[in-house]
Amino acid sequence: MMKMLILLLSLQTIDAALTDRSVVQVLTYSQAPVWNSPWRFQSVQHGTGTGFLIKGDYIMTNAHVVSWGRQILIRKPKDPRPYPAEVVHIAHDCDLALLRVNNPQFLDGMEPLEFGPLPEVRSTVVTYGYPAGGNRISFTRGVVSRIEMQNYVHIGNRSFLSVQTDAAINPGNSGGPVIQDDRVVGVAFMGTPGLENTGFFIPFPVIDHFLKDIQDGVYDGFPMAGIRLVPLQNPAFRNFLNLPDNGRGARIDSVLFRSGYESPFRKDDVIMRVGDYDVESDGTVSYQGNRVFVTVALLSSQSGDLLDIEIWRNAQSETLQVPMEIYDNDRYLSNQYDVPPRYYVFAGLVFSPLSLDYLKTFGRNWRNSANSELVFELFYRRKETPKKAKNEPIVLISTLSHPVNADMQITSGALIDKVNGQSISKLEDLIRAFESNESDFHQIDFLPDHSFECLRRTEAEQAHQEILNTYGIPSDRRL
Amino acid sequence: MKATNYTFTVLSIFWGILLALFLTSIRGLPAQDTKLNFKKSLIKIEVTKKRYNYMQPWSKQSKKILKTGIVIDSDQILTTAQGMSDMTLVRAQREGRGRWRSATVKMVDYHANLAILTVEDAEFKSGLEPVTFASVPSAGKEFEIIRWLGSKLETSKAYFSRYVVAHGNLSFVPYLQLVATSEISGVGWGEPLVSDGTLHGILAAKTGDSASVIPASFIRRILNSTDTGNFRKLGYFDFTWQPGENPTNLEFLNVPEDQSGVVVVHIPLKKQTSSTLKTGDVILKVAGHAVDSQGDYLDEDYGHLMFENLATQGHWAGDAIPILISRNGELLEIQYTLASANYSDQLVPDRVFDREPEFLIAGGLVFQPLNNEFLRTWGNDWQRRAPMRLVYFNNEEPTEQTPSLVVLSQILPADYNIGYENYRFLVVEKINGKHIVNLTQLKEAFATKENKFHLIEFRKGDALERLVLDAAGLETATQQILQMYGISSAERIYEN
Repeated sequence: MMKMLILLLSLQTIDAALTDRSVVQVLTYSQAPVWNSPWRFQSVQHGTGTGFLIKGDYIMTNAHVVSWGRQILIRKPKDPRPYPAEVVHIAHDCDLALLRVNNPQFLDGMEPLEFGPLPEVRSTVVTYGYPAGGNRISFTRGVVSRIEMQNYVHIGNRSFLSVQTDAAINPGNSGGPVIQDDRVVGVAFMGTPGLENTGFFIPFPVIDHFLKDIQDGVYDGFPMAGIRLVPLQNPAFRNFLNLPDNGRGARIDSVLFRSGYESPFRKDDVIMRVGDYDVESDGTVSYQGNRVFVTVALLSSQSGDLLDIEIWRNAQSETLQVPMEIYDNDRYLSNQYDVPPRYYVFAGLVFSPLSLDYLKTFGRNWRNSANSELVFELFYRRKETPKKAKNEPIVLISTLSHPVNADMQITSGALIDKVNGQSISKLEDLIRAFESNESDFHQIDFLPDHSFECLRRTEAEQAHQEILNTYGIPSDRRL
Repeated sequence: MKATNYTFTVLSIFWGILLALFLTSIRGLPAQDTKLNFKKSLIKIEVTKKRYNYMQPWSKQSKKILKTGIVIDSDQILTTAQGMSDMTLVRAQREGRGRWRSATVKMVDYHANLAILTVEDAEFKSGLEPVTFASVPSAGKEFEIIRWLGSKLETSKAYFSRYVVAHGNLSFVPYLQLVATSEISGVGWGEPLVSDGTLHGILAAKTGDSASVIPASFIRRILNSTDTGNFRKLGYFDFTWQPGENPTNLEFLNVPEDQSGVVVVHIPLKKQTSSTLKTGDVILKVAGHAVDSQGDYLDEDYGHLMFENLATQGHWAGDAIPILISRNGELLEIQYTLASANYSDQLVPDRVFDREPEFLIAGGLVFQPLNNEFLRTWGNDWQRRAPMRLVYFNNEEPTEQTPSLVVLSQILPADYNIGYENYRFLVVEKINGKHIVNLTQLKEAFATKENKFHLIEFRKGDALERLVLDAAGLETATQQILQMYGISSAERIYEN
């Protein structure tokens, strides 16, 4: 009995050694933009993460390991050379990326790792990675604590399936494989500050969506139903909808407005079944033995797929074939990466779209320190009066002082309503409104109380280039 | 009503502090014998009042507040209005010791933050010495702040800092205030500010070393209006303006080159008066005083002050005040009627005085009017800590259709409302199809039903939009829930 146990252990060690060789360290030199000086970039940051070889000679890692990367280097275990890598696909919503190293020697001695299914709660997993605190590969073991939908903090406004484990996951572990039975069952990606022994990894169903999504060469993203689903547990509400009190079905409380898209759903439709999953009255489904919020049922759908959704409407059951839609018009509400901010500088006035990234420049406590009008515009107006909301609200971010604009009193953090009488709902509108004006003045109207500022047109135009030169702005716009 | 300016307040505070430091450093004059002068004028006031918790609007507690009053007439005691609301008993004491006597509140004006008390008892009244109001402006003076601390008379030095035009402690109406610096702590409850044996004002608040004082001239004006039996309400300018400090703005609006002023940028949607002011008008003169590009006029007694002060200088709500404007280059004199200060004219009333909190409980759902008294349950820092969306209604204006809001503040969990327990802080839009702006309407709407149900709809936003309750079971459930949570009544509603 004793001998067998030792044998088993040593077998595992051999397998683990094979796996090690395919787990690499990712070194990234990145440069994020300065959202309140949108033509500038911050100083170069150095970060490390982990990656692993998969089929197709790609290195898989987290999107956040390589975001804003200027130079990405890969280090193999037992090989002193750094190998430059490039990002082939990156998915900021589910925090995954695929890299490629163009040097053929890189693959020597490496074997692609295979993926395994969603692990069971209470089963054991081992993380592989290069966490802070040393340079060599490190392993930590833990149990699968729970499985549910979690907010993915890299993007900030999307939730996907996530597995919690008590295996230590620390900075530098990000992007590393989580192994069970010699297969990758997840990619380590985040911890919870303030909570001990809670690491999270991205499980196979999410990885699988990503890998299938990019098969056509383009990453589209995850479909969203565009509805607000709430539990349907009050007997009176069930009775109102003529539904028996049997614990099945969750109610659509509201349908989100998306310009140019007509939702197949209506308020008070009850979702009874999504694909192969019965929906319970608390909005969950049984997903491989775990009780998980119903949106998990959309994970395996790609953009344009049809998904059968059974609803209860007007006291009747109906099955809708719902085309899966990807929605990314809310990117200003999420953390943005890899695409530097759009801006326009005119006569020292710096304009850029209102975004979460811009609000974050007001500091950690931006919800209180930024002008509440900006917070309201970004997070509430769009939901309350979507038809009145501006498509891309523009903010006067700062004013670069020059005699031509020095008398202005409103110089930063103000929302633009109109320029020269033209309503501004995106940056292009604003540029056109300045450039097409032929009157003596430029007039900028702000929200919400219609305060305004004026510039003399000819003087402003004359000063325009000089201000760009003085402040070292390479171009007056980035669109 | 408010200036659209992001810098001048901060700057003026900065200069004020510098000035205060300067003044502090050059003082050191011998003090007068204040004790002799004011011993017979200074009254200790004790207010017992109801205290509410707007998170449990059905319950109340009581608390006591100690304040200071000063005798201004044979039997009239002047203090601030702060702390006087919802009072159940007011008592007064002379010389910091001896018997407390019941007092009567003769006048209270929350916007002006002033109150007058009287004591009937003859023994109490005998020998009181009324103070004299200062007849000269207080600029540059050295003062004393006096009060009874325990049974001892405490005097503390204070120095003139500046005059400002700012809204009162309990009001949104701006008027003249004196800022004095002093090291005394725990004041701001009506303590007199005296100099040369005369009263220069009473303290309304103190933050750090800086005390806000209601100046004698303002107090006199309010008292005169009360004396004549013709009580007048404070008026204010109800439009929003922007300083005219960018000359290009004025040029754009064709203002004659030799003129300066401020620009009207917003007129309230729900106007109290039929004034003909329009956005884009440039205000050049108010009541004959030239307005500069910062929005100040030169007051002959007090120096440069924000022009909004003129609404309370010899004028009252409802009075017409001449305003010279430039409208598209043409000079016009219009008669502007001063708006009357009513908390209920705000979409979210800032204050509720002398009323127990309103509420209605239906099936465990607690409905309350949205006001800042409710939001203040999040503490002094409520503007940051209360739910952002509810606070933000303070930035929105009332309209004819929606002059006020009702909020579902919490749900008292019970079988009847199972599944809804965690919904709260939702603004009610409709009940059974009827638009709701107050509890009276809400109660009426609950008297109807949609088939066998009550359909409650909330404002569209990022939270819940609909709830359904069983109509037949509502009354019984409400009674059971009241009993379960020890609440004596399902509602407290004041007719609007």
